[in-house]
Amino acid sequence: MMGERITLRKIIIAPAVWVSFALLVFPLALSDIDSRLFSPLALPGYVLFVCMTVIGDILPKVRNFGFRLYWVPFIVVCYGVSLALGAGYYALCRRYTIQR
Amino acid sequence: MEGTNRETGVYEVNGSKEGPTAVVIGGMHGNEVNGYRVAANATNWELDAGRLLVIPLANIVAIERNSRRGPDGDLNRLFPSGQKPESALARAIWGVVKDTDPDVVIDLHRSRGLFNTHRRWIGQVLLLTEAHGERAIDTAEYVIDYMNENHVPRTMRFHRFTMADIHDTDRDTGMLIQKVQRDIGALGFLIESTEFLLDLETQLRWTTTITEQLLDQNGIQRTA
Repeated sequence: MMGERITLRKIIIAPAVWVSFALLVFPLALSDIDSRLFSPLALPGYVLFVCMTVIGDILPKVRNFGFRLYWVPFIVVCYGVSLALGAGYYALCRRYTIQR
Repeated sequence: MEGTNRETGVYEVNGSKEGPTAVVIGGMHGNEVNGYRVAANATNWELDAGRLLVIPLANIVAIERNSRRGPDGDLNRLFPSGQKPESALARAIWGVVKDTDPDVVIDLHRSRGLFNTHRRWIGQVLLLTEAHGERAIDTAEYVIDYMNENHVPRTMRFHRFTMADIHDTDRDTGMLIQKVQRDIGALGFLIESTEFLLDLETQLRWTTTITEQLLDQNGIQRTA
């Protein structure tokens, strides 16, 4: 992908996007199943999840939702964050390759 | 509440030596599973000293319905200080607590969220009564430090235990631990763990450890 034109389709299926998505979601999901498995790897997902529930807890329309329901929007947001990270990563790589 | 559908057991565990008396209560709120399961386990504990009275399933109707409230509403708001408790069940529980003449009362609860993080929830808190005195604060601080050092992962920052006072000293919350402190001068602790991002086994483990540590700090050591 480096040096090539970046398209949305390429970003969506890019390994960097899925790696960052997996790092955000799976360590936290594991620790939710068994909290003894909570590791520093879960920290980014943990902070993001807590932030989402803090915001949700003050919004009148969603404040009574159980926190378990936040897993659905959490996964969507994680994918969005991963897309942004992936796009940034490939943009940097492309720029670096062109400069060289 | 003998002979009614609200009849529930009261268990006594005696240590091999004389010592202080404690009361542990679980299931005040029927949907707070960790509280009644830990209290139920405590009925089988062995102690080196002292006496432990356990009411594991305080609000048995609410437990059967898996709901916070029982037929009379929120049981832990029916214990006004200096007055009769406001329901037959609350009066029965208060009768047991008062007759036991405890040195310490531990009430086990669980919240949905986290104290100081989620505006409406008070999880991961050790709640004290307002007139607790230095001994209670020292005990609570020791137990909280112990939990945060040994059980809560360092990176789980929002799950670290903390201490809170029942605020508004003039306001009567109707909570059992406040009545315990005001009416019979015993120490009252309310353990409020959380279900937020914690599996049930961890909730049980942490609630058990805090209860053991609080008892230990009050001279009642669990041996098995």
